[in-house]
Amino acid sequence: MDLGYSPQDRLFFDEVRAFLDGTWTGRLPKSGKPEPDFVREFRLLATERGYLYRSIPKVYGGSEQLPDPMRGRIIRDCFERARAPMEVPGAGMSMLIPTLLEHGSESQRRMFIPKTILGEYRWAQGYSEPGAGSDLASLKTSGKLDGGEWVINGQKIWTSQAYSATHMFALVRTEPNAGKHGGISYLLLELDQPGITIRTIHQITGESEFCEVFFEDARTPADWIVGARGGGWGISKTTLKHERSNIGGVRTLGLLESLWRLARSIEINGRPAAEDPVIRDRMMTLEGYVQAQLFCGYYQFARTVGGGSAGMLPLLNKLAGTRIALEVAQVAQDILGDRGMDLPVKGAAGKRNPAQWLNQVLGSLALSIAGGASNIQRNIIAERGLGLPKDEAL
Amino acid sequence: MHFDLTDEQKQFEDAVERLLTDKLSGNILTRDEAVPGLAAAMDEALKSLAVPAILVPEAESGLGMGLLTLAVAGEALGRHAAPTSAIRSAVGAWAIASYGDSTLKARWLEPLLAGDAKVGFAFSETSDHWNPDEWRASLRDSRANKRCIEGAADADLFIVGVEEGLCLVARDAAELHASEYPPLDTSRPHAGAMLEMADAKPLGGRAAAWRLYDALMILAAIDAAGAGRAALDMSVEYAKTRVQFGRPIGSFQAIKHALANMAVDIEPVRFFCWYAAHAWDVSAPEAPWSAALAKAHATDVAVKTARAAVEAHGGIGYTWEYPLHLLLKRAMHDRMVLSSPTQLRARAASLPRPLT
Ligand SMILES: Cc1cc2nc3c(=O)[nH]c(=O)nc-3n(C[C@H](O)[C@H](O)[C@H](O)COP(=O)(O)OP(=O)(O)OC[C@H]3O[C@@H](n4cnc5c(N)ncnc54)[C@H](O)[C@@H]3O)c2cc1C
Repeated sequence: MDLGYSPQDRLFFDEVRAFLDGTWTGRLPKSGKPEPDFVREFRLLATERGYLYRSIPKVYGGSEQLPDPMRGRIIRDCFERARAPMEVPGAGMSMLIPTLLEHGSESQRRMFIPKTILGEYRWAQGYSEPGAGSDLASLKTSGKLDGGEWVINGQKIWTSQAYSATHMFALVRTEPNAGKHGGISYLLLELDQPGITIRTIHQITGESEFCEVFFEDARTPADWIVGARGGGWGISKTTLKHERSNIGGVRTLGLLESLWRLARSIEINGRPAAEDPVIRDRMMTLEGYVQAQLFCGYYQFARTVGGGSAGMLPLLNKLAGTRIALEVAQVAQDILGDRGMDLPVKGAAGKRNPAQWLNQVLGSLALSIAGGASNIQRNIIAERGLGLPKDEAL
Repeated sequence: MHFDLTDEQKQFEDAVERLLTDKLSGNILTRDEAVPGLAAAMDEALKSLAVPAILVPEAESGLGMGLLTLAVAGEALGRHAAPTSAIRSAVGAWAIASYGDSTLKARWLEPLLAGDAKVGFAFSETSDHWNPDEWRASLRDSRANKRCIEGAADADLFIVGVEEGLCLVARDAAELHASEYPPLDTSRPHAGAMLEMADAKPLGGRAAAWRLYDALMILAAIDAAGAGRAALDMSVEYAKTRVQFGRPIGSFQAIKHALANMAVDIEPVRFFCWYAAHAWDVSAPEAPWSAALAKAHATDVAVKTARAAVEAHGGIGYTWEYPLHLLLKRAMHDRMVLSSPTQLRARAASLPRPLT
């Protein structure tokens, strides 16, 4: 057991910090605003130094570093502390690029990865449909080859950021006679074209982060398919694997800290809510879950560094984090009391205490739905983690 | 940074686990009359693994392997609901090595390290009052009345909590009063004692008392974590084999989800306990915070998990013959001793938190 940095880690830490001291003087723009040029320039410098896009080969614009989770962690720690931008956020970086590196053709990698890294191509994830959510493989959006192009018809829904995206990676049924899973292909397409209509959806928070996307004879080149025809289901699994490989823990710690700030800033019966015995007990109960999850994450990290397996633990992270976030929301409501009647919902994310909290209370619900509903997580834990019998219908 | 056990600790974990599996398999512990004999056999076996010497520094003839290593043994003992005095010997030896004068060390250290002397910790005086700030007995008193002392009947010496800190009282100065009822957790019988204080030997002040108390809380936490995980494992195995409606009950989604929720609760707990033990070992400023909170969290979650395990088993889980109830009672015992979760959460809230 050793929670400090080794001498080599320490050197690397100092090196990253010195780099940040020398190059990052800016402030991050609010999310949702377009990124100014100095952010782009900073990313290029940081990539040259080997701090960003480490798993991406140089020919595609990455920094091509050997896998080293410890260094990755130091970089993340330093960048977060300096509030410096890391890789461009979004599904392109977190899901599409790893998928292209594993399954894409050489020309697809050259065509898409460099521009995605620079933020010129922004990707939407086109999986869910009105009739296909948890049962994703029942999706119906169809693709037919017609003179060197796929012609796509159907509808996607809940598509995050589709209104601002330039491209989509989508699961499309191209082999109608090949069975439920075997008929699906993984296609890439441009969103700005006559056959595509995007409508934003008004969410529970009043904001519009996700959209409906309608396809009426939308088109994409025949070779914009990743992997083989009918191989899309397996490929989408690798995308999800990458989505889940980001070990949770740190985020719930930050969430709990902001709840403590709320509890210190609001009074109940003439003293800070943090000192109210009932509130305090619930917050300390949460603290126990957060600490357990935090150190469970440290352990998983240590196993990854050692090249070993952490067994079933990675499967637990999403549900553990979701449950913590939902309980934070419950406690926050009790701290706010009827002050909640005079707080904003829409556009309050990122505001100061206590204005962001109604938004957060509602927003936490997305965690239990997006990226695999909690019940689906439980199925996965039970079947893949605990080894209980598989339900053949699912 | 490496948040994992060392290879040495892992080998030790395997050795303890093998030993316990060998000696305590099946439902042997559910036969009450077998427990004292098994406890003696466990003490002998754990002596052979030098468990009582783990915590004492090498300079004092111990192994100096730290609380985390002792916690590794503690988790395995919790998993098997094993009766033994070895953990108490280890902590008692550490207290005397750390805070005793040369006479006390000469008298007690060797037999404790060898596992030949047994310790009882005499802390609680009134219901739900356990911690050093709540001790009202004093070295000035002629007698001290203490309750719920684990292993009192076999103890050769008592480490007693007093206003001034800790003191040591020998067996012949104690008059035991056994409880009216058999203990809830048969693996850990306890008794009260009226202690003659005339020959009590001071053993460190209040800081020493809290440090000892923190170590015992961490050991209770990891014991509960072990019991809770074992209850989950038993439930998973049972769900794979028990057939109803023509299929294993583990194929019903309600059972799957119940077991998945248990896993999300209990699996991460041990890592918080590891951290608390590590923080204690390096005397981190937040060690008292994590000791109190780990005890509250681990015992709460372990009891919740073990109760859910009984439900997942159906009728068999509700019987004395099936060993699941041993784990539930073990966790309940861990939860009840050394301050309640509510008290410990309030305590932790007043202590310095880890920096993040
Ligand atoms: C904020 C947000 C962003 C999203 N972004 C995207 C995106 O960018 N791209 C994209 O493709 N999708 C996106 N989604 C969609 C998301 O993946 C789906 O909502 C999710 O998979 C659930 O599908 P559903 O909404 O159809 O619900 P359903 O599948 O109909 O589920 C309804 C309820 O039934 C339960 N249920 C369903 N099946 C089972 C079962 N087998 N066992 C037990 N219970 C079951 C579920 O747990 C849930 O409680 C997003 C969703 C949200 C909330």
